[in-house]
Amino acid sequence: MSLNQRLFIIVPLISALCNIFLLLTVLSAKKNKQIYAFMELLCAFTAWCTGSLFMRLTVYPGPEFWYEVSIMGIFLTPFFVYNFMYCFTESKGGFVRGTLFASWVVVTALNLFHVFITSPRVVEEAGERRFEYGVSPAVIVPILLVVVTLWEAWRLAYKSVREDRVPLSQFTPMIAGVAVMFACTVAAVLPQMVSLPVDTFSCGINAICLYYALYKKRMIQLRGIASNGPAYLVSAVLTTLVLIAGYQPMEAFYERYFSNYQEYKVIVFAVGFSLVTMAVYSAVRRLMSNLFVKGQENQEAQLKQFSSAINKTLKLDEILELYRDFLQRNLPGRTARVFLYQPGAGGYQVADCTNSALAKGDFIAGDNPLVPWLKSYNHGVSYAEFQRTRIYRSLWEEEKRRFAEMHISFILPVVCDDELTAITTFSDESGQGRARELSFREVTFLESMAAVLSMALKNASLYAAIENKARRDPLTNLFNRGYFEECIRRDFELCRHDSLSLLMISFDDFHLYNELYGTTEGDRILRRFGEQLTALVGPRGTVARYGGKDFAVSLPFCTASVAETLARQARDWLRYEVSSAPEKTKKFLTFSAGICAYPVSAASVEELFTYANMAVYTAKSNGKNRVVLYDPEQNRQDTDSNFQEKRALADNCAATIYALTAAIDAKDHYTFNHSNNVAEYASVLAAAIPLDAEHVEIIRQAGLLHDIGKIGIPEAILSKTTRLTKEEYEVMKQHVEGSIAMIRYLPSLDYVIPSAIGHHERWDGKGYPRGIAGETIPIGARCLCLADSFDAMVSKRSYKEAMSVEQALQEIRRNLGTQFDPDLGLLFIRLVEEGRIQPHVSAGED
Amino acid sequence: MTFEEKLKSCSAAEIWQEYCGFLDLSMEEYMGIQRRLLMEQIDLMSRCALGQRFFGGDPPRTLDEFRRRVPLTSFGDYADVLLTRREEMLPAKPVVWLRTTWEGGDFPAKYAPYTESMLDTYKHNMLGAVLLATSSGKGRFHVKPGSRILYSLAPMPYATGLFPDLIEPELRVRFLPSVREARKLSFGQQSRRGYKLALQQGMNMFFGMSSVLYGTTRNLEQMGHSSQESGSRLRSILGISPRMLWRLAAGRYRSRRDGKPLLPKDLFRLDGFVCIGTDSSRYKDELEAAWGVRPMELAGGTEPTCLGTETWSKNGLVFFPDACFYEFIPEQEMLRNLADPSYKPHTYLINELVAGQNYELVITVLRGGAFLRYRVGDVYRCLRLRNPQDGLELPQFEYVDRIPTVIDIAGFTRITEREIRKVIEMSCLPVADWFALKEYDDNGHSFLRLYVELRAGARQSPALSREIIREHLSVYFRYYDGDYKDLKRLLGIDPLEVTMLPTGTIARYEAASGQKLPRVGAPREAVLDLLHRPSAFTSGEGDAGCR
Repeated sequence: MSLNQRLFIIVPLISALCNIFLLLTVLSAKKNKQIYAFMELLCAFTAWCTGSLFMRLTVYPGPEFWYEVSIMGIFLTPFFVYNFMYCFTESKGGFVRGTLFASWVVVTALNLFHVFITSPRVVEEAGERRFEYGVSPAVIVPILLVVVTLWEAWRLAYKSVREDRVPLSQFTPMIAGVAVMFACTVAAVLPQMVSLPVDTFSCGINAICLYYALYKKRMIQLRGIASNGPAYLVSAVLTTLVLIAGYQPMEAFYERYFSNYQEYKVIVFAVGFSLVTMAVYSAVRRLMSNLFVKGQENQEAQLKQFSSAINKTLKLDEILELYRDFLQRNLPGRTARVFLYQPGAGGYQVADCTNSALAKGDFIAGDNPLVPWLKSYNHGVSYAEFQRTRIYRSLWEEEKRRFAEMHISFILPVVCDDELTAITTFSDESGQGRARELSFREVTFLESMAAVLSMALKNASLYAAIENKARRDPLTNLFNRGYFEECIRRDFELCRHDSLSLLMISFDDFHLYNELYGTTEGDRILRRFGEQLTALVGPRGTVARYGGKDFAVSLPFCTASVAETLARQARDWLRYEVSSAPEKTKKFLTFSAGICAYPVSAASVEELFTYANMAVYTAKSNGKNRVVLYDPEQNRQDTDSNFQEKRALADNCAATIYALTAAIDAKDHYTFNHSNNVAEYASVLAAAIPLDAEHVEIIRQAGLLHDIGKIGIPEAILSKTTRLTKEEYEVMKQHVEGSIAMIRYLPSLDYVIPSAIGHHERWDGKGYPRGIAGETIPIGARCLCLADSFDAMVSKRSYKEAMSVEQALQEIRRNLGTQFDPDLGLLFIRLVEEGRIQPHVSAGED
Repeated sequence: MTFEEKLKSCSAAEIWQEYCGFLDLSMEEYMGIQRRLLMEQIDLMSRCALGQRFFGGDPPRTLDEFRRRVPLTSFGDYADVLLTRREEMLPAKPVVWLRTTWEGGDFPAKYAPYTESMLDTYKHNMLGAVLLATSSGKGRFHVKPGSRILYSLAPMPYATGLFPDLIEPELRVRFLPSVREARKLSFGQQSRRGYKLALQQGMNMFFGMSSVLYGTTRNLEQMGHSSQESGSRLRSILGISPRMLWRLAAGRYRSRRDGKPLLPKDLFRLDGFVCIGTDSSRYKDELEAAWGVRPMELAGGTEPTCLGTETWSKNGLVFFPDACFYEFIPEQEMLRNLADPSYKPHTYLINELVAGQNYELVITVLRGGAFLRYRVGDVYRCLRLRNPQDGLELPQFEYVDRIPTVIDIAGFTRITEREIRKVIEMSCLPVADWFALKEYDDNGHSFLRLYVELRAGARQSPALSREIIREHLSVYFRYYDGDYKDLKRLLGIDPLEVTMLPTGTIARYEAASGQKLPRVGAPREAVLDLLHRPSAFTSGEGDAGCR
């Protein structure tokens, strides 16, 4: 067989296999009219090549039959090319298409009767076989029809490009394919090429080009190549080749070594052939998978992993961290910035950046033209494309400059429920030349990831909204007390080595304001004040509505003077707000503010609250409408007068206190002395801490009054000589609330309540009535607790003997860290041991 | 990426979208761009001393607030800053200062600062205009690198001089003459030299002031006539390219055969033909007939930059959305304001206009420009609010003229009451009263008509005939106004016509009508009453209406 003959077999064979292979590949794709048009074209190509091949091989039923198959393929190809173009460009109007189709059907049918080309005549010359055709003058008809059909196809393409329906780049592979086909057709008439199978060669090339065009248009995926159909075909071809090439040597081998087992020869060969087929299929599948699918599978695995991880959390920070890791892993050469929508800020704030060195406070305003454009586009897009849009003109110069500085090359929108939740920009920060454009596969991958991310962000934002709602006061929309305490603790941790100020604001006589002007007005002023305070504080701190008429502001990294300025500004605003009301009657509303700062005046969050509240109290008791700064040093010097005032107040109330204690004395003789002892011990302890004189006086008074609630306890329980039953103990415990209920009717002494209410609280939180623990228990209460317990232990009671002082101290030591504050407890022990506390061992009961 | 690189690497649709995509804007999108860029300008202005002058310490936060609080301005409001070029007072650093005549101002010239951002916008819009000038339909344009452009517009520091400087780095084109050579020439020399080069080498695009284009066209036609007579002028054209020689020969042949004059369209195949300036609409038909291509009009100026362009259909200007923020004073409001300067005219936005109405343009220059609510002094007619044939959802305009108090002749000179009064004073003629109008001759070309009353008794002197007064005043106009002189030099026009009125006509008219007659740009009705109802306003001793 000559080389030419071989070529006329090999080239059509390869082309036919190529077309069948592609046909099987697209069988696994999702079908639409473009895919169907492509399949029709592939069928035409296959008929062309297979017919040509089998005609050469004179395969049954004979060359004439295969000639008809081949010529039919050739005749149908122009129309199917047109049809493919028609579908590819999504053109409208079926008249031309219908006419062409009908014309080609007629021409093809006529050709079956050899109107245009006669059947080939087989000519054997010098051992070579040639096929000679004869053409009639009527062949001009199909030639003209070819010209018209291809012209129409070109017109469709041109029109779609001009009308901007299909980008020119999508036609590039088709143009290449058509160019090859044209070149081959022209070459076929050259005398030098006439003996070569260039026509069937062009079929294979053209099919591949069209396949690539569809792939580029995202209509088919490369993974289709690794589907079962193509793998079977390749395996079958390879196995057949193996069989053809290896049968004779294998047979000779079998004959030589296993001639005694002739009867098993067929079985052995069949089994062997099956095994080879399996091995080949497995190898082909693996090879194809590695070539075409592995990358995609890797990406899918990554995507699955990302999806799974991101759906496990509702925390925005965690989602962003996962996203960042994902981007760093998959697009290592690029810097990605994630802009998240912040409704409060009215735009998209940069929330994360894959290159931490470049993370800046970038912001894309909500009215930036990029935002609505991305929302409507809803696909990843190159920045250059955005630059070409008409709305790019409305970008501010500053925005253009910043985008240019970021070297943005690609923008990925994250859209959920028609809302642009986030924007990710990808940039080449090296700034060296133009960044490599993301490949089609990368873009598809990112868009899939964006779809996953959008749901996660949506869920996170819903969660955050609910969480935020739970943290807010419904009237003022400020943070509530619970969340504020979380915030200030966080601020405190941040400011360990810096300063933190707490500003407490309490409206004066707000109850009266409500009664005078109505609760609607009261609510309005609370809302307005909250808004104003938030505006004044800005990003410097956190504002909360701490109570009905109380506001609290945490100011991390701010000194007390900042808080003081803020309070004065708020006071000025409030004065203006209530006085500038249009009503004839001038309203009046003021507030008292207290400020305490860490580390100057307080060592813990609890102290900040305690001292700030004390400062508020001071402000209120000094005539209200003022701002008081809690300063221990200053207080120590300044509070002499306060102390004197407290003392005077206590003196004024002494009659009341003594009347109350006398009532207890009458009911329970021991309690009177016990209260005196506790007041004494606790005040010595408080002074030794050291607390300022005013605070010491408060604790002393609290000591005197801490048990007055026992008036309400039945005498039988108070003087019971045996152990109290559980029920009796519950009744006994109520004396604390009883004390508070009574003190509340002494408004001028209500400042002792925090200390008095907590004297049965335990350091480990197992006390009563509130079960608070550690430093949450006011320091006055902790002092009273120690003093109360000590006096109870060293006193003789109706139900027990007195303990010795040493035993009592030992008991205190044993309960340090459980019942008692360890530091205060040790101090108390030291004070007793040093004799600064003189125990009265004769009486007392609790 | 330069424009030329884009031509090579981007599709035509992409290029069109980038430069001419604004033509696809809906009115809402257009206003969105206008509003957004205005807020940028307010932001920039609020940070500079010039802006503080208009805003005080409280910059406007909305468009309505801006229009309510910022007054309409004229160059006088900026003169102290711009004439002394006090850059530190401006919203952004200027990179170039352009000048133009300050008609009726205290100084001969006025200056406008251009920031880098303004130049970028100018360049972008001009490239869009180049695409449109060569387009035959939406998205179908024909710009090719290496084109020859005859650029017959005023050089730097006038606004039109920016174009070659900005375009050259973007697109390889050959200006006729080259930009470097043009810098050394006066405008007249530049035009003549460019035209000569175009005749020798051919040209692809022609940019020029409408009046100059018209003058050039007439010159060529005349040259065609004379060449038919002697051929001596053609022989003087040395270095003519074979292609042009062929076209010239073919043109001459056709001209002789058909007995028609040699027209520019016989010599040139223009891809783009662009005209700028006053009275463009009056020249367009003649230019189209002569060149075979209808010229595309551009609108702009020193203060407003390049603000509008016609499209491929060349039947109305579309304003660029990012050059200026536009407001419009209806003609009636403008006239009322001219009669009573204390009256504050209302302005309308571009989406609030009425088709067929004339409007005075008020601009706020965007991208760091210096002018806020600035009355440019140009009047435009809103031709239509949308153009379905071209697929435009935006209003289209036609440049009408300067405001009535300014007489613009052929785009060269702008004559105001102040200039005329000065010329009359300098001439020492016994002029008792006068008023001036812009009028058009039978060919539709403008000229200045001065209606003059001599002092009582002066008419007896034979030395004071109409022609002598005209000549006398022309001399002084040429002396006082350099641009006026160029009219004669470049276009061969002497645009002054004088009409003598009987002494006291104007005073009697004013007394009878109870209204003062504006000395420049008087209403047509008033002039008609004055001229054609002599019994009512003249004493009968003069030759009312006699020219």
